[in-house]
Amino acid sequence: MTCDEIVEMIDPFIDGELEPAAAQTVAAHVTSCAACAHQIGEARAMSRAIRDELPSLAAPGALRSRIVDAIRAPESGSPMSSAARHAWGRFWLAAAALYVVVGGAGWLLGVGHGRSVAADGGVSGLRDAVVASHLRSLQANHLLDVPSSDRHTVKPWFDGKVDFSPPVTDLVAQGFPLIGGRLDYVGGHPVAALVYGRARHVINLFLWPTTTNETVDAPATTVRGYHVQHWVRDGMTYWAVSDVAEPDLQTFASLVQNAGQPAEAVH
Amino acid sequence: MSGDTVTQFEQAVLPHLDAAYTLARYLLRDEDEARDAVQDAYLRALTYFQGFRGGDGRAWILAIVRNTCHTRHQRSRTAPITTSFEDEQHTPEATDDSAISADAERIPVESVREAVEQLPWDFREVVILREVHGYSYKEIGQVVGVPVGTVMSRLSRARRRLRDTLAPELRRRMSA
Repeated sequence: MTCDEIVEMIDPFIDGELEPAAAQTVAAHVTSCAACAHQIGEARAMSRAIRDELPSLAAPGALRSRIVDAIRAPESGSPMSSAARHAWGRFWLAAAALYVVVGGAGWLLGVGHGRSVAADGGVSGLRDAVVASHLRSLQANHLLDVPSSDRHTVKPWFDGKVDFSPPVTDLVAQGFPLIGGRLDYVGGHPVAALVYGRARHVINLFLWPTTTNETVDAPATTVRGYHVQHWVRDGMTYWAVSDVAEPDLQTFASLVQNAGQPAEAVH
Repeated sequence: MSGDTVTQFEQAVLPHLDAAYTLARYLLRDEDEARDAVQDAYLRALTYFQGFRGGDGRAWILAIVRNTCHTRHQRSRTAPITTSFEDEQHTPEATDDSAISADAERIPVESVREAVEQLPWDFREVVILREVHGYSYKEIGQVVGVPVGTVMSRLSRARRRLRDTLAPELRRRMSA
């Protein structure tokens, strides 16, 4: 091989990207060619110099926590700008259909978010968070981790997944059959989500322990077209979210309250 | 997102946050821009995680970070892009061995880092992914969205340019 041909292979050679036979050819050549050996030495020195002067960096802690928060409570995700969407096209062309579905949901999640969560991180922020979780649960394959109408299957499923034992009641006789359960995240914390049906509608009942023992009955609200009922009983906080008619959701809420037994703390 | 999906995302994508930030920082040459771009990219990744079919989470997230940075880079430019060109239109000139000795005519830059940061985007990204991240040509191709052959030729031309710019500095280092 001529030096010109060897020089063409220097980059893949020092990067370990040559086939073994070609790499041997280069190695054999440089044992008898000082000029090529020098060039390889120079190329390696430059690689080292770049690595020395451009070290790997650690992501700033604030960035990391913002991202972790977003993962666990993704309703804070902002819808994409149209400019960003254009740049995105090439890579995600194949995912166009998915984009329509998810992007649409992202739009729904984004609407109103800035106002209420920014205004008070408290109940209003949680209301947005549970509605966002409800919306996410309706996306394909996100509704149920444990599909079962048997509360004796659903309740123990949460063992070890959340640090409390959620009271699970079946209300099939009252027209609200239990469909199953799911581990979800609200406000960055794992919560139990129980899923009930009402005709063709889905009701998500989110629940987790509170630190207070007071009883709360928040007035019914509607967020982005979804009805929300919130109450606190026996040290558990409950949020029911659905697109069923509002009186139906109120009926559901009182059925759960009346059936509710005290939560059993696991630890 | 269900708990399982959160876990999957945390396992497949979150561990590459440092690599993502490193890439954004050197591509955009600005700390604040890099932070914003990475956050933006991760939120997008979250939205699109359903489209992730397993496999190389690192290449997947780095491609999203790279595209996010690229969009910002283009938006921030007032002048039309003059440094991006297709390899087919620019077959490498005959290998220019004389470049190594032609350094007398070049204006030396302060540092290796400066030389890398002055590279045109198409060159800069392959150099960073190869030298800083240590990615294979195949991985670089996945992140940048070009064939391996293009990675190889861009890298080769980028290094030739760096050698020309940095010849005096390199000589000093090699003799040190």
